[in-house]
Amino acid sequence: MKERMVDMVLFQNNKLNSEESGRGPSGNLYTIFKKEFSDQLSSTRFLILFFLILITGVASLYVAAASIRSTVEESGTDFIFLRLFTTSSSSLPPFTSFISFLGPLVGLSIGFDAINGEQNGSTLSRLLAQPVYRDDVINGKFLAGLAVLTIMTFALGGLVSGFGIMLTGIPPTAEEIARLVIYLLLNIVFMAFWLAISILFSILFRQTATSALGGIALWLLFTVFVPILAGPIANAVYPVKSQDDVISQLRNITLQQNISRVSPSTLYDEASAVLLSPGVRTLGPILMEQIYGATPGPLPLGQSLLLIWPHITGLIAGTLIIFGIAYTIFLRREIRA
Amino acid sequence: MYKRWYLPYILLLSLLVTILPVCDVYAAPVISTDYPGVIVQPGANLTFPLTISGVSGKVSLGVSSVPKGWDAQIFGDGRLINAVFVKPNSEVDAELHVKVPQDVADGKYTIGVMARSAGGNSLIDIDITVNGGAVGSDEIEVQYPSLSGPDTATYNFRATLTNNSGRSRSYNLGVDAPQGWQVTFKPAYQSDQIASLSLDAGKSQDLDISVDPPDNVKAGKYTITVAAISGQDVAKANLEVVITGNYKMKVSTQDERLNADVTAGHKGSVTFTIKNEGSADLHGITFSSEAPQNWSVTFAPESIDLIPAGETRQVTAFITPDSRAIAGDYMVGITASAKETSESMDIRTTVHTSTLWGLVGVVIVVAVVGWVMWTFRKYGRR
Repeated sequence: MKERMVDMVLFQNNKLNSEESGRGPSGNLYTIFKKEFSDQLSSTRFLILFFLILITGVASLYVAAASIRSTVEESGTDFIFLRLFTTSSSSLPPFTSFISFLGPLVGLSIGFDAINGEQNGSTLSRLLAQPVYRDDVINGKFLAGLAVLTIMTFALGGLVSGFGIMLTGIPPTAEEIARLVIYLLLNIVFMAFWLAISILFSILFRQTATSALGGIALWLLFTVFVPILAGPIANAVYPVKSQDDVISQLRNITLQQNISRVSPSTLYDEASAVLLSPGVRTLGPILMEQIYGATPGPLPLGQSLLLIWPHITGLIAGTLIIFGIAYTIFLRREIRA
Repeated sequence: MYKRWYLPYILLLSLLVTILPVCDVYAAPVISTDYPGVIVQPGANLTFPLTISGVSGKVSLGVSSVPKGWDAQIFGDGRLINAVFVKPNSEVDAELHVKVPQDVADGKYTIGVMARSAGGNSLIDIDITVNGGAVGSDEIEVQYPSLSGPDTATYNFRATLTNNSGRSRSYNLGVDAPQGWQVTFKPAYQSDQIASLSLDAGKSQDLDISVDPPDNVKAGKYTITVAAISGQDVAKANLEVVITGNYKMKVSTQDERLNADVTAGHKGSVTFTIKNEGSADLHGITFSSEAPQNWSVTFAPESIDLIPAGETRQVTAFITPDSRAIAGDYMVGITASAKETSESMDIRTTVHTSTLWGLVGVVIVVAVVGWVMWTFRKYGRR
């Protein structure tokens, strides 16, 4: 299987040479991207993941269908389309929770054997023996993973939206569509973060199993342990001695929240909540004097985006930093057959 | 010694002469009645008790003079008589029955009754003053002769029947009422219905007269005449019932089904009927609705000025659900308010979502599936 990548690269090179165009890295990058992309799509792993996500979508749609009527009775039909993604019932969590849980897993499973898999199959050295830039290999693999994630996310969002429109018969407004698209992009960024981590691990560890387990360990640490540990740490730093001590309570909560925000899962959860629930105005503690005279109402999209801008930039920056580290390590590594 | 032998005879004779006139064989009878002067209404039936005394033996009786057209007869023990037999030192009772004609003019009339025996005649004149002014006749007095209320109520009048005839009498109670009205008589504070009653002379009896109008009788003024009839005497009273009319409206659909199908964002119509089931007209009927948020309900016609009693009008409600309403059932309340009353009904409205958006949903799903398939075909391993 992996031999074909070499052939394709050669073929591509010949074609490019015959066209007498300057050999640009993009040509090989595209070749590697295409090869990697088709490998991903035709892998059993991808099918399993895709069905897992699809079942998730169906389940959350079922939840929404069951409880959307009562939700509307409680709070009108504003942003009803977005509620399809955030409505939960007593038995099942909403769509967003599913994705925040499964997204990292998808990102990890797509990239955990990106490099060490090639090494173990001893195709990497053969590939690099071709006139291919080394960065084309890692870039191509990352971009192919990103493309797979994009397809998966948008297919899922489109399916849920389509069934939701069928179910409710309510056309989404332009703002709802914009919010949904931004939310889907956020999903891609979030998954890409984990994809970058898994590629980094696939460079660091020789065994694919090790890199997979490392990724899962990190995922558990971020999603489960960081939010749990945030409380005790904050209590240790700013102990709340009495209920009257507002200052230390505020500091305690703020610190707790900031520790949680180390985890990309927290950033993602907060960002998706703000995007899909326009009523959310603030994240974190607010004082009574701040909400004095405030009337509840939806925020315009721009304001919601400003509210979560740090989150989005943080996630993107984190992804790029981790990918940059992986890139550097990969380029400096000596690769032997 | 034989000079005074006639003295005892003279004494005896003179005594005899003295006693003779006392003996009644040769005296005239005495005829009397307690009240030889009465005041009556035209058409009255009078009875005068006569007492014949003062003689012994047979005494002929007869009416010697009677006004023209009047009817006067002497009865004894229920039979027409023209003579009585008076035992020594006793008296006999008879009755003079007089029927006063209806059309007699007011004034004073005299009836003479003659009694004749061997000892002579005696005559008694009875004065009868006819006065249309109803003095001394029986009467029904009603405390509140005019009552008003709805057709569903039962009206109770309190009446007093007084026997002014001077005799104990039995009365039949009768009523003249419009068709369908039920009138019953009960003695006051008792529950038995009665159709007749007896009253001693000068006594009175309180009666409860309950009047039950037929249901859905039209509003208006109704007169009911009640009468107490005793022989030829009729005592009448007029009762008045003013039916104010009740206001009853029925709102329903033509086929009694209370559901409607509408499409989100599109106008749907429900035709319903308003029936005036009351007995009075309804005025100024307007319509209002109670529907979920952002629904609009309009009516054609928007209002109805008048629905006469018993008539039906059709109204169409145009229900437009919120364009963002979710499919399913909703309750839409429609209220018709007249000035006098109001009535509402709930229509279970089933909202179908617009097929257009369902189609859009299908298109989106199909497009996504197609796109994924295309990606697989293009990039997947072939």
